[in-house]
Amino acid sequence: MRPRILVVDDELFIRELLEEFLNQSGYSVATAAESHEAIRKVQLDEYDAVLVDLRIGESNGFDLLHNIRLLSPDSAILPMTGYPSVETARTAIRCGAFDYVVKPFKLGELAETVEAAVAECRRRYETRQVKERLTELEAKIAAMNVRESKKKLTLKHSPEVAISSTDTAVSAASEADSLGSRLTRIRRNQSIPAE
Amino acid sequence: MENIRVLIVDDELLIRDLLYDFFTSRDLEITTCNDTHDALQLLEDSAAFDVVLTDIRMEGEDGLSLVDKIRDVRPGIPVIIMTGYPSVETAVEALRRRVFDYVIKPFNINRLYNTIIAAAKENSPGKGTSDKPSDVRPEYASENFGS
Repeated sequence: MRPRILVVDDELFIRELLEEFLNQSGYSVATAAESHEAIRKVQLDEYDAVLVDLRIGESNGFDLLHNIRLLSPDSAILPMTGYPSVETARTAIRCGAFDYVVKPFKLGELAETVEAAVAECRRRYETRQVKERLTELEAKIAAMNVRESKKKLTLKHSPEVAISSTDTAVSAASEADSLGSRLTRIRRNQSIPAE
Repeated sequence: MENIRVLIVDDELLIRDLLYDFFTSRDLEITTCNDTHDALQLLEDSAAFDVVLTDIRMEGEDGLSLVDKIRDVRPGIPVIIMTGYPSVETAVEALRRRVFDYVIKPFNINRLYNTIIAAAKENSPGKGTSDKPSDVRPEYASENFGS
């Protein structure tokens, strides 16, 4: 499936340029001209990366950026600005932006940034899945430990039940260990955008 | 939550002492050092840090290279940058290195304290994931940002 990109900019020229370029680069692209439209699209569909101009009409682009981050935590957000400043870069950090795109940009460089952003989105998704599975396993192991303790008190004469249950616990613990290692590897391989 | 353990890296004694005194009085566990070498040694020797707070312009140091080195040693630890020489370039570099915040000197020490608490919470096991967004990071909610 083609990675999905949302472009939010009030300039028609930028929306058309990025839509055409990113489409040709193998992405499925949607566009929005203003904040409400962008929020509606994020609520309806999942996007791997969202390019957001920080000056869209009268609205504060960072409010939009922050809302997108809350609605779609896996999406990599790429604020764009023609007016770079330390203050907006700091705010981009606090909003959890993936990168900070300064206009005018070279399309080749933007393509590298978008590619890294899509990889980051996939990494976040994978990390979340692994963590959710780990949490399930930990709960399962904890429940088994409680049951095991009770059995030791009440089923002294049915050792085969205890063995079967212990095997399941060992198998769950082993999967948990393996997922823990996978999580460490994902974190170590965390992508950093091309400079 | 247990006491938050913070490693502070700054080559200015005055800053280290100021932060040590203030944060210790607010129940943070503070370790200070004055260069990258000692910081990395401390991080390698002990897993007992929740947050790193570091200057990015220290003698013999190349800007944000310390952040890369910290990431090699402790990939998940939140790093807060301090600088007296802010620029768009270093702020963007800091963003790309996934720092938790970029704090400009002179700073409001109470805000910095709140930032440290937020960073530690985001990275705590109870929170579940450092990849989840914070609900609202310090300062963000109360400021109007224009672009």
